[in-house]
Amino acid sequence: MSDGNGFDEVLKKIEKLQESVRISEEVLPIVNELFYFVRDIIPIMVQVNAFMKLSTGKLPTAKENIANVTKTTENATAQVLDSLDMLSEKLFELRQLIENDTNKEKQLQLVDELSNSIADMTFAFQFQDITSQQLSHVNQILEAIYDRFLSFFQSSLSLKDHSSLGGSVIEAIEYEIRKQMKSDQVEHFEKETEDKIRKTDITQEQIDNFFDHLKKKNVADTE
Amino acid sequence: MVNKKFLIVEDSPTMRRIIVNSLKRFGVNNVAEAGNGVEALKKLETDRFDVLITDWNMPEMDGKDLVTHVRQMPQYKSIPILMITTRGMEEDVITAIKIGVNGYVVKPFTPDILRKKIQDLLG
Repeated sequence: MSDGNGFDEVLKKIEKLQESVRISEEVLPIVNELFYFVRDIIPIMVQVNAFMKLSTGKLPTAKENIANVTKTTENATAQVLDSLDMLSEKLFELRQLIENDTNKEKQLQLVDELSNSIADMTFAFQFQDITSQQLSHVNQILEAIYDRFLSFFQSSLSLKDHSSLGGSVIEAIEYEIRKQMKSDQVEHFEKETEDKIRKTDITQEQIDNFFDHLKKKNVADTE
Repeated sequence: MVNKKFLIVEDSPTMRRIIVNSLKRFGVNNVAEAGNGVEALKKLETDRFDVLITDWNMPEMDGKDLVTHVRQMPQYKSIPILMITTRGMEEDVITAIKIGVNGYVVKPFTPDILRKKIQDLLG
């Protein structure tokens, strides 16, 4: 099939088949239905195929960006921790000099070095801006994929109205989907994708109060 | 450097703080801030600045469009412009030069790099 004409070629072949086959009046409506259904479903399949190729190309980028976020924050954290270690050492040195009341110049030099370490730590926090952009890109990819899936879903539903065969096929698919949703595979998927990251605004104080309340309740129940 | 008035255009509050604090350490105290290109243009129109430091990726109006607009303003045809961005591809740098950016810094950067770039801008 030539590029861009594949779908037209298939339709022409089916039309020729329609013309050439001698079929009874009972069978003709079914063949017509089949033709309409094939005509409707082929563009959707083409789009789905193209989209799958496109999105599988984007997913590695999304994964890479997420990995980069981890790497960036790790590097920034290491930088801050190194600066903090250096700060501690210099503060200890400064303390000794002040205690012994010696070498004012050295004391001032240490104060300057401390100041520079603090500046270095400040710069390490650039990671917040960088990682925010990386995650924003991942979000964009996921949103685009989601929107596309939604539009395919809506396109496939519209097949119901174009031919009775289309309607029957979609109803059968919907029935099978309802069965699938109760299956172990779906349960496993839900478990794998469960959001375990703490997102609530609950404070430590609230948790501690809740703990104390439960402990008291337990004690009261056993008395 | 110390007598110049700077405009920092950056959508990340953290980054703005880092840049402003650095400028203070370099002795620059006359600094204004904007969160995107649209805000920056308003400030540029109502006030007078000597140096523009801008990010690239920003909502509403990005740094590339901001610089393009600024270079069309008669009073800012020659204002030194430093772009500070995560974009590190060759074509980005080429685009920046074409639109009139005078200096380009890729994030993350060190205080020394920032100081040197600003000094280079101001000659």
